[in-house]
Amino acid sequence: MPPVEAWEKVYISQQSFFETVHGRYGCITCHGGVGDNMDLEAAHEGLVREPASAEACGDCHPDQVAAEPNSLHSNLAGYATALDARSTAENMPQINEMRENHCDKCHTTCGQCHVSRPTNLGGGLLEGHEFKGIPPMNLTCTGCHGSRIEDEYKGKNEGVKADVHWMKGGMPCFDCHSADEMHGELGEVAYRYDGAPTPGCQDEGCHADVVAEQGLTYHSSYHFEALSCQVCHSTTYKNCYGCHVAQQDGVPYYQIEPSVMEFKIGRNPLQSEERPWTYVPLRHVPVDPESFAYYGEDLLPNFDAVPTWKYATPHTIQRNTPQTETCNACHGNAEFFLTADDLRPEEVEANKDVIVEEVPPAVPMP
Amino acid sequence: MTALRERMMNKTKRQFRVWGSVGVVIAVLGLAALALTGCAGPGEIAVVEPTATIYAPPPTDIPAPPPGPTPKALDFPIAAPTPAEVEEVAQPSDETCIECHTNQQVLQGMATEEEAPEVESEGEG
Repeated sequence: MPPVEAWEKVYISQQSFFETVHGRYGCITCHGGVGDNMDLEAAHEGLVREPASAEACGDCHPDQVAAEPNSLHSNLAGYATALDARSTAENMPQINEMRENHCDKCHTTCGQCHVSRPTNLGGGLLEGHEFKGIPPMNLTCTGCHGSRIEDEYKGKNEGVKADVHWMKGGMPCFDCHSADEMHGELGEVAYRYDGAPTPGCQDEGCHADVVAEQGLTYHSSYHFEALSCQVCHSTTYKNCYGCHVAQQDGVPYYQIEPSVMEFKIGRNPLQSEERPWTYVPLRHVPVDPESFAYYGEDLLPNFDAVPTWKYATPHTIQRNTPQTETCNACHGNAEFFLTADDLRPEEVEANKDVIVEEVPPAVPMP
Repeated sequence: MTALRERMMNKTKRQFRVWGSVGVVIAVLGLAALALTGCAGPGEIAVVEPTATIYAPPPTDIPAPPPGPTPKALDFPIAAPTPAEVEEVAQPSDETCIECHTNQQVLQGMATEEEAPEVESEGEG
């Protein structure tokens, strides 16, 4: 992402902004500060760099602001869900301190997508002070979701083609991820994959015409029931290991092992009526038992409660993938499956329910 | 009865013949009178002095029609919400804010780059 100089972050390049609906409210109405004062410090006294969504936006956008507490971008519920599962109530003071220092800065608000880059990325107005109905994906969406999602979607990982939705379709993030999803208007969720897939591949207007036993041989009823679409139609993606957080002189930092490009099919850890498949791609998340050791001993006593190989929907979708070359490209090929041999010793127990005990046998070829 | 009807019919026919002849004579006399009046000499024509031509006043500047509405791009895909009626309230003056924040030179002169933290994270975030 192109860097922005300090002055440019607060430079209102377009006078026309002041003629817009938002511009007519003036500066002080939303940001506070002191008017009619040419002294830098005095003028900025009481300044609110980032106005609270409810106060600044709620009058005109009541539905979005009312739903904001449900938005994962706002509440970061996924972190809490995972940490609650792996830790205990007694450890929460240290865990919460860690979260505050290392996780919560990823939180975003209305303005951090629609007016400026997210604060976590250093901020800076997107285009003068224009309010962007659709935020520019390269400065907001993939600014945060870069190393995994963007690199996969745009084909920035060496040897891995860009996702077909980007390469051929040129589809920006919001073509699939609706404003309702971003704003939390679909209801409260505990983590990203809680509830029905949003979006679903076979949604109306996408691939609603792809149904079992029609068209391709591979689209058998068994495959449709047993495999998520991504099992066959996604390819190699990034997996992260061993993230450790700490502070030095009050400055939080993290260290993480180099990522590993892999494709692993495992058993569905979130199998439900809405995600009924037996097998899905799994992605390794960077947690390990000592990730938060700086903040205390044994802060994750229930580390094994949830897998470290997580349900994934990689953004490396292709019509044809190495798995679909032939039946036996997948059947009988242990390389594509997460087995006990792929696990580190400290995470065997955590992943016992998602590894594939028996790789599907090779089938006789005609 | 038949004889009576025959007499009545004969009487009616006679009346038609008499009155028809009278009508034809009157029409012929009328046409002759019209023809004779056309041969009479023209009456004396009174000379009328010419009057000055009246010209239409020169056109004055016609005011331009009021400009039509300027087409404005729509925000895609979500229509801007209709703001609730906003009461006109006295807004704090932000002229000085705008004066500085729209002036590139002023901002460049005053900006100080944030210091990078001494400890930097390692690896992909």
